[in-house]
Amino acid sequence: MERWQLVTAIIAVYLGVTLAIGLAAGRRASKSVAGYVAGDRDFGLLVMYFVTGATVFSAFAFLGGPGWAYSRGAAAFYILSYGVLGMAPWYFVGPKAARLGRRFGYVTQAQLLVGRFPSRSLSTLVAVLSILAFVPYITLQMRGAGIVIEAVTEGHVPLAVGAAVAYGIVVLYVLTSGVAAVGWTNTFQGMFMLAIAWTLGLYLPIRMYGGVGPMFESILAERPELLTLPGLTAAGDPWTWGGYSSAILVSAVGLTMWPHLFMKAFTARDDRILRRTVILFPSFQLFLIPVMLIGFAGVLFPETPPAPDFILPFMVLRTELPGLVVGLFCAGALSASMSTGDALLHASASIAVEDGIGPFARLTDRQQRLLMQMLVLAVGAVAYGFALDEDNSLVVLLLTSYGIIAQLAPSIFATLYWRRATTPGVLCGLLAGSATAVFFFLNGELRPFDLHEGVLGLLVHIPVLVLVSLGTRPQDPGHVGAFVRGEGASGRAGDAGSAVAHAGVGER
Amino acid sequence: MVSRRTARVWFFAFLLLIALGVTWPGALLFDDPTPLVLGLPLNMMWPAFLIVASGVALWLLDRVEERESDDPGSEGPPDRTREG
Repeated sequence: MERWQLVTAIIAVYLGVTLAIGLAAGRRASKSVAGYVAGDRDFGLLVMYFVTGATVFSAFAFLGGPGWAYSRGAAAFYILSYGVLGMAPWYFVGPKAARLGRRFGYVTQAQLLVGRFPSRSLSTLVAVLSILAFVPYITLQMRGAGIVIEAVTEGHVPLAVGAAVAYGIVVLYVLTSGVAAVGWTNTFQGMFMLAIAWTLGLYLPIRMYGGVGPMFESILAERPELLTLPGLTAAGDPWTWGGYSSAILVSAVGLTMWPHLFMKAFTARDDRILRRTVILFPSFQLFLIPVMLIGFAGVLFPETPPAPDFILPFMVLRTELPGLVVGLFCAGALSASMSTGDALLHASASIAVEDGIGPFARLTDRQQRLLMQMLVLAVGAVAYGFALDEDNSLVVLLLTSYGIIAQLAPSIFATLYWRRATTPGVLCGLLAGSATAVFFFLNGELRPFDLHEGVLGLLVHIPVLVLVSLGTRPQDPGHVGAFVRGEGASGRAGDAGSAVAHAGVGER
Repeated sequence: MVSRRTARVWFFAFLLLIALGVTWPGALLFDDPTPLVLGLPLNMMWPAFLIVASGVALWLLDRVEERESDDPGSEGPPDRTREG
């Protein structure tokens, strides 16, 4: 048997096991919308730990991270830096959001926002922003899966077919089992990712250079510019401190604002589990170090991959590892891609129905679930179309998404911590921040100090939110107290439609 | 014994220091790749060290939060209800 055939067989076994776990997980969950979207709020510490880690670290970390280390050097250290800042606030925000979710029946981020700020427009806006950010992120995952499969099968399975098969399986278990499948497959995939990353990340520098230290000494001697902050741009010119620092800030702000991650707060069994997940998260985050070592191992390698994002599978293949190891590596990389992709597909369909359509149409539980399943297929198909575009770098795709998603942060903090915030303030802030981010995304040359468009959006967003809120009528203190201090009961807000109806305030 | 409020203030001050330490101009202090620490360049080891330090800081904060939650006189015990 040729090596690529052995590798393909291992991938097939891995995909089969993942599918079996995904389908089996669905048998435990109820058939309700709460079961499909929030896993009946029954995830324990083990599942939450891996769901959080495997959802955050995706094909971007496994392929894009080494790709940046290889081509842009120290610029990749921004990925190490933002996780620290991004996850810590979740220690406070996550349990608070989860308590409100249990109390008022929320299963999505927008429902929490609309519970505090009753407005159908807000619900729709958040749904649109979320899905706009999801599509490039899902595209990234699919492209990552396709890149790995094409590379390790030596081109026998092209990117388009590899991505289609891997994501066909994701769609199948998400359609069948909802978030329960996401939880249990993420646990399996997360363990795989950690084991493969640490093993390969330490093995390659030792085999090629005699150790991690000697590898960096060699790079310092021949390519010192790669190890000087803030690293290089894609074109090989020095990156700016403005670009580097703002990439960290926008990613830190956006990290826990991702609707698919936020929604996982509603799946936790209790607050203590969420807090412990945050405390344990740094142990997962450290896996970025070996992953980057693989990218650095390629810097002085005489051959070059077709694109920087290919560096990891490229190195695995060029170092003459046995077919079994290459196959396991491939399964690890696919785990990284699929464990985020499934959460994204599931969340985008859930958000489109719960927040985009729910406030305008009364649907039965069964109709909602059916509609979500149809949307999983639709979103998957759109992202697949984009995944075939060869011009997309994985990290650029991710940073584009972060610019949009970071705009949700001021609204979430206002919901939970600022009594004086009002619905018009939140709506105007979101619109102004998003419009600014989009403007600077489209006109990158106008960005001052090379700041990320998401940071520029926040610089407009926050003052607008504050000024418009202060200029409009304050919300009823009883209603606000339920969100800010957890007092009283301010009208159930299970979905945007009922939130508007219950609060009786419409578009304030 | 540290109160919950004090622990939170210290924790947020620590986060602010991290934010300053990994972005411009604070990151300039650790911009040099040498010396190598455990084989890694200093400017890579610095954020890696902060990842570990943040885990320790979160664990210490959690100890205070849990202790005060168990104290009936403290504000807002965590909700450990299990609802479907």
